[in-house]
Amino acid sequence: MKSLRFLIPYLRPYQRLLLAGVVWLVLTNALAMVIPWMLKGGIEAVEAGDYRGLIRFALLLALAAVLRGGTRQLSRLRFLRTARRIEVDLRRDLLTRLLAQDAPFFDRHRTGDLLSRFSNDLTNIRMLAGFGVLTLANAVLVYLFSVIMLLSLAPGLTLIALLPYPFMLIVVKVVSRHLLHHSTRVQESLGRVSEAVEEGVSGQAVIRAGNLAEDRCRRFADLNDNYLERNLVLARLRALVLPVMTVIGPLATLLALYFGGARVVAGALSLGELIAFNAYLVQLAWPTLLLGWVLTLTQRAAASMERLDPLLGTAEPPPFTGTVARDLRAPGMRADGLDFAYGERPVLHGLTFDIPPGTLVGVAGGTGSGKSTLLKLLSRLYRPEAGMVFVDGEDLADLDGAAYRRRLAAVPQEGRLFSGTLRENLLYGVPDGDDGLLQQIAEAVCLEEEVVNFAEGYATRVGEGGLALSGGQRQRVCLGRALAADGGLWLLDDPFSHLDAGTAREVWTRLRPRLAGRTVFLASGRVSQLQGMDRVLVLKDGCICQQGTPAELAATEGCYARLAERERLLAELEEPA
Amino acid sequence: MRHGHPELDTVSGRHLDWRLFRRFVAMVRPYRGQAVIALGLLPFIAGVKLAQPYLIKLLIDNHIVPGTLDGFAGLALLFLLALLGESLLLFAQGYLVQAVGQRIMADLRRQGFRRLLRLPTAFFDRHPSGRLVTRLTSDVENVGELFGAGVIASVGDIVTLIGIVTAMFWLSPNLTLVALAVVPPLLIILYLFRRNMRDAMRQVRARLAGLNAFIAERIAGIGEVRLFGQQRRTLDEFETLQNDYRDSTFRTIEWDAALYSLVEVLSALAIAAILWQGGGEVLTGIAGFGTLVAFIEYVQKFFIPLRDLSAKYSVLQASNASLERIFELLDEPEETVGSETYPQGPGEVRFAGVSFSYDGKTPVLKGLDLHIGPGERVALVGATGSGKSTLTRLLLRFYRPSAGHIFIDGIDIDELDPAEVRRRIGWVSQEPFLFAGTLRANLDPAGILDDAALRALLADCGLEEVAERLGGLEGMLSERGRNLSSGERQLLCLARALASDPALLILDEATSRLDSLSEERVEAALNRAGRARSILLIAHRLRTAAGADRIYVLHRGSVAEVGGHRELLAQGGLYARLWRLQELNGEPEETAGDEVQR
Repeated sequence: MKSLRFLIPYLRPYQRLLLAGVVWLVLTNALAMVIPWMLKGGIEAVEAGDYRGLIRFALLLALAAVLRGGTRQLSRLRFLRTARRIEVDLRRDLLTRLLAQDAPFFDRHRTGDLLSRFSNDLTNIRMLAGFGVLTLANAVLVYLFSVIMLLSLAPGLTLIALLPYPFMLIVVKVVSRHLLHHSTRVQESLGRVSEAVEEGVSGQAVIRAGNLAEDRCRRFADLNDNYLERNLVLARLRALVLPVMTVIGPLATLLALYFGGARVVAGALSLGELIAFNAYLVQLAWPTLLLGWVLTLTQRAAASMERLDPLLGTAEPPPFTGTVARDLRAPGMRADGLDFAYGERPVLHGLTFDIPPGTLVGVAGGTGSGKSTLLKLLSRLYRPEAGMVFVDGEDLADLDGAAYRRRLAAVPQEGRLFSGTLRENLLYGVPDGDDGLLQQIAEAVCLEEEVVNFAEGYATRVGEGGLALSGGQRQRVCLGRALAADGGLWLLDDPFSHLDAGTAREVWTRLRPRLAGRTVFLASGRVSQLQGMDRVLVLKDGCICQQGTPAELAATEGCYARLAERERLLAELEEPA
Repeated sequence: MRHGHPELDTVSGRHLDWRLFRRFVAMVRPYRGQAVIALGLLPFIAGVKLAQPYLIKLLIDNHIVPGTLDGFAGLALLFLLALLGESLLLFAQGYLVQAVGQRIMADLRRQGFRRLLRLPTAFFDRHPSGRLVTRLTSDVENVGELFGAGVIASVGDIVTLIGIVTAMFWLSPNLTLVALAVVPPLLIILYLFRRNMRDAMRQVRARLAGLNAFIAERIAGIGEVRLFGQQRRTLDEFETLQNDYRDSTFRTIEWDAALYSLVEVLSALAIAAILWQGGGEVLTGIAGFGTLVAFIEYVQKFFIPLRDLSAKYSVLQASNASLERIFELLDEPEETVGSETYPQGPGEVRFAGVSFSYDGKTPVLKGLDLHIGPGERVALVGATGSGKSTLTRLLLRFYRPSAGHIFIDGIDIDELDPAEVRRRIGWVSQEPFLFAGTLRANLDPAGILDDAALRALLADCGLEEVAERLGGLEGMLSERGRNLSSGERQLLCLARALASDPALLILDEATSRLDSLSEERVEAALNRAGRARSILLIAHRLRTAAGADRIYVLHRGSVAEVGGHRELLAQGGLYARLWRLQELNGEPEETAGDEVQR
């Protein structure tokens, strides 16, 4: 039960609730002790030929039963509700810490894997916190009370009748050690089976093309058989536990009757006492039966807790502030030999630039040249190393990310919308924005006409991830969303890629005046879109190969000119040959 | 990831479904022997279990009360034997039930996997791999309890209940009626419980699904949340959802606690009633004390199955939902199979007016004609999205053309068994995919080639050193071949494609991941091993295409130009422009020139 300890911090906020639960549980078990006692009284009354006494004891028994029903309900509610509250708390803690993670964390962990921690693992812990804790507390009380009653009825007989219990404990201990060993083996085998399924799905094209299906099925069948084999061994062990647990109770009864019966015959014990004695013994059976189950629950919950640890183990993030006023001061941005790698994979090498506040900066380059990475770094979703990027002379690595991002209006490359209405998405950064603002930004990104045609206007639901909208509409909502939030530093990562050339031009024309006085980075795969920029950085393989005004760059032979030429050729290719 | 949340299965609010259940029971058939034994043991288990209270009655009425210890020990021994019998029977039955359940699960996994590999390619376009893995793992695990906790346990409970009532009637019909007076209120409670619990659980599941969808969306859109500084607001919205969820769970807790307490109350009331009535009968001499005690024992056994009813109920609900999803997978239609047998031929390919679209709306190929003569080397070039890879997928019969025909050696491949078509084709894709396992299993899964042939093949592909490093043909590749470089993986895929000696080799950007040195090795390997076969080459670097006998330039799903490298350059059309573009992308011109000279 050592592994129960990890639960304690989460139980602590509910100690009053739990204490109340324990009090009701104590009452419940105290009332439970009344029942065999009344049985004893009734039987003694029968032996004495006292019919009225019998009725009195029967009624008292019924009364105790009804009262116990009430206290049982109250105690169960306390414990089980606490468990749900803990589940909710844990889920909140998880999400809070998740929101505080940097982008590399999300590169390392798959969404599905994170999600399963929110569902399966939380369920395991909740089961332990609820049924597990309740069952344990109840078992402790039942054992305590019953043993006291047994001892008070017949101390010697108690020792004999309880003899099977230590025996059971030994068996359970031995079996559970083997159980643990074999369930680990089963888990290993299951891991191999799921890997094989995953391989079969991911490699389906290769399997199809190479006619490998038969071969794969054969190999899968081998793994599957091995998994079955190991499960059967485990099943044999599991099948051992139930009979042991089930037979313990009646075995104690047999011992009580055999040795107690002799005492009754000898006149050392009354029949009523023997029957009550047996009734107390019977009360031990059910909690005993459940203990094995709690053991499994504990193991599962401990494993789940371990999986949650990478998140819960991180320090609690400082409280997030609500929406605060945006910071519209345009920053000066300077990079000084900026290197960056995603883990082992280097992406940017020695980028150096110095951008005065209020400059329109174009970032040009082919796919994979590092444009998006540069913008992600400037948005501080990834943290650059110290001494590489400076914002108004301050090191970006030292700035508080959340405070810095208040200056930011960003349009990521494949922006995601959240399910909800169009209005909620456009005003995502400024939830209390009014209709006027909504209208304005919709016009600025050329959405207003389309919205008029939607049956529900701005109340149209965009679907999960914005799936109900077209790619171009989604992209313009992302632009509008940034515009509504506004900021001194604009980071636009290929924001027109899903728009046709005409719409892209129109949106840009409407957007331009609103960007006056802001520092703007516009990354684009098409250099033609960068013509009106104050300065262009040209990236190639993660290095800046050229920078200057578009006119300067166009005039010199170099990678910018090549990109422009390439684009011209591509445009020609787009024309029907 | 734009298409929703692949890892989250939608939770269906359906309750137990007899159609599913019947189909599940049919899966027991192969193990009916064991299942029948498990069922057949039930009356015996009930028998030894129910003999115990009767033995208690005998112990009390015949020995303890009259004070005669003659035969007392014998009776106690009988009791002990009943206990031993019960534990042995429970062990045997428990094991059988689990074993049958496990075997059914193994069958489900095996059938599911087999089905999975025979589904049409389009199925995999629609279903993310994570969800399919869940189908064959966690979903199958959920079903495991269905046989034991579902079928056998319910039958066992019913047998026990009938046995208890019978034994009680036999002992004392009068007392039985008194004891069972609690049954009508019990039935009402169970009815109310079932009705309310079903609704409450459905609500919980729906709200939990909403919560998980919210989390999934925020994880996917974590960048947006942080960029717009909306963490606080996200948590606030989350709190509302959580509170709704918590409140709905409180409803299920109330019903669960109520059921538990009421069952307990009723069982104690039954004891009170037995004490009252039975005590009276003992007083008037109708019954003995032993009957009274035996009745109390019977009543307690009567209520045991009802105690964990709500736990059983949720297990069954979960396995029902999983079973539905597994059967859905098993019911997916398989890839269609043609009838014509394949004639031996040199592997001549002809596309005649082939059109195709993945979604039925956007055309990808438009009336395309193409010819690969025996032993010819044909290259496909064109911009991204011009339909190059789609063409090879049609040729491999992954998809069927929406119009037009593809002929291999004069036979429409639509009439052939896809396996036969693929047997004639070696395919090396852009993404080299290897399986975890030995080198031999990867190269020659069917085990046709002997060691010498395999070694020759490895030598041809310049893989001798790699093989040596791995420890020979039995050397292990890790998952996806991660212990190899991507160039080595691609070479190995090429070797695998050549191992079956196909008449036609498709190389779909097969050299895209290679540095120029490895590319030379591939080129050399092709020249050694690829001489006698037709080759269809999709080139991402034009200089790879330049050496082909004929080059098809694809543009928006149709053939724009056909011809040899020099011819096409001289035309000054699309190919010439692509060639120029390639140079602008930084391909060293001299190398490309060399290639052309060769």
